[in-house]
Amino acid sequence: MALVTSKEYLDSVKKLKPKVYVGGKWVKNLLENPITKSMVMANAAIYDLAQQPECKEIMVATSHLTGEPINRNLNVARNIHDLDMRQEMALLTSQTVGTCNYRCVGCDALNSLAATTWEMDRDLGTKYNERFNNWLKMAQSKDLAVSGAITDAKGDRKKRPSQQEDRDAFLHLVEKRDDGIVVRGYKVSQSGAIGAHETLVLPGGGLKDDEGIFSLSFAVQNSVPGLSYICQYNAYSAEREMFGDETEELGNPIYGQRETSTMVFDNVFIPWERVFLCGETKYAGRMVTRFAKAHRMNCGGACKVGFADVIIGGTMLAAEYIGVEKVPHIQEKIIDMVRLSETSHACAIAAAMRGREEPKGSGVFLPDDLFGNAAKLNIAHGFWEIIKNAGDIGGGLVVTMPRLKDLEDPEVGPVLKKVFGAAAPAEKRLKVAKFLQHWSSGLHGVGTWHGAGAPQTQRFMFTVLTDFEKKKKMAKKLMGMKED
Amino acid sequence: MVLKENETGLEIIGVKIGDRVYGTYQGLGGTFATFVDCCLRKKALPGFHEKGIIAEAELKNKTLSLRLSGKRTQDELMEVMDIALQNIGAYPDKGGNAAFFIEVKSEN
Repeated sequence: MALVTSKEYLDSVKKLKPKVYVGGKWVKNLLENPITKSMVMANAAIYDLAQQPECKEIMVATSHLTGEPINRNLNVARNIHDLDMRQEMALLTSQTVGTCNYRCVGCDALNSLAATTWEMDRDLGTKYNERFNNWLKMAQSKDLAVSGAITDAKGDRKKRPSQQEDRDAFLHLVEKRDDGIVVRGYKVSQSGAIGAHETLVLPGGGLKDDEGIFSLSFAVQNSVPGLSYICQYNAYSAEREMFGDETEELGNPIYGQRETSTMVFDNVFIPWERVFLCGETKYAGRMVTRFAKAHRMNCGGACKVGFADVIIGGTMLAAEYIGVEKVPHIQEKIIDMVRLSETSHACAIAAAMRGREEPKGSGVFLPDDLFGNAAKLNIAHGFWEIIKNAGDIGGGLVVTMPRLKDLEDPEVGPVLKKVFGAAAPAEKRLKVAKFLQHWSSGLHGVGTWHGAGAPQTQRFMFTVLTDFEKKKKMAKKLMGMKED
Repeated sequence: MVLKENETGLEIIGVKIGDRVYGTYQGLGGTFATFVDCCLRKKALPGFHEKGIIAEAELKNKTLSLRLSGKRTQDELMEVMDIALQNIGAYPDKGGNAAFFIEVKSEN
């Protein structure tokens, strides 16, 4: 059962009973709550992609542990081709679901773990890599949906983790036992854990020598007692709840905006077999950096490019429906949208092509850091421009439209059809306006800005990764300026 | 309590109801330890959020004895265990040799 179908995934979710809180109530069944259902349906669609012959090259890989075909979301990249197909998978998934690739963070986390646990075993003689490989073999054999949790609540940013008034601001070790560890604290802005069979937890950042209790990585099951999920709630959540089964009213009817939650660990037990880092602070930063290296290529240079593709498509339809598709400034703005998104995709492809084995001898390939950061920083800024142009071309209707259902109202429907009928019927205009509203006035602008790390982190990486002295020397040489 | 991995890193857990092994489940090493921790320390069954479902729990060697609250038939007990085990990453197995057992009884 190495490649699970969407039906098999949905059947497995029916048995999962995580403790999930959404907008004032506890959810008993993920598939009966319209908000949590959208997340699960997006994951199901990702499973479906791996079943489609035309997507096989992108979505299916070969396990380096067993030689069996596996979903690429559970693959450890072993060469340049793997990296390239990994970013193509992010692109294809975003084009298909138009929301978070909910297995994506788990995939990038497991690549970081493959590299870093190997390094720890080599340097320290630990058994982390052996444990991790056992966990991965199990996850691959069941084709589990795996998410990733990285970001701690962090509390007062002026203080280090151990100085926080509330220690739970950073996930930490409570007790070390013979059979495992007990952990508590929070992980925030976590995408898709509610519908994942397992979540890989990584430290939120680099740590100092005396911060060992925060240096943790492990795999946790979806519904282990002590773990609960408090979901995000916003205008789009309320809208989805309000419309219930009438999902055709929504901008992304089946898959929704993007569902995240705060994971609350209340003294959760993790057996040693699932622990991949416990106290070795030197490796916490490396683990996060390697995760970020993979995630910036995929999240920045591919996932958001897939979003841009569907936004560009919707924007072009909006232009056609009012008969302005051949107006020069409209065409110019569409071209700008393509330029911004394809530049990021080019950076992702470059990051994959310049990828290399890290650490040497591990067999794990990670993308080029500079190009991955360029992909993310470029799209962080570019995405605002893209949704600005979508709003510009889509017109005020994007935010002033009535409900689609109002077109069927016997009293106002005929008037609305006359008001909004243009080069296409009112139904089509309103449908695409709602789609563009979903993107331009939704959660994705800020989500793209912060996802895979806020731009300030990429700017910092640019300062670290760029040889500015070399550039100055080149300029001096060309000018004929002598060295000081 | 130290629970060691077997060679594959996986472990098999048998569910006993009455004298019969009703089902076997396979999970990563440490799954039984997690289940035991849930029942003894957290006094909770994975996937069941109502309080008081565990009337009694005791670990002897590699067998966890559980008494669940209320009156439940053997099939109902098995249904509960199936959900509980799958919620901590143990999946139905074809019936290998179980290294660990969970003996389940109904309170009444």
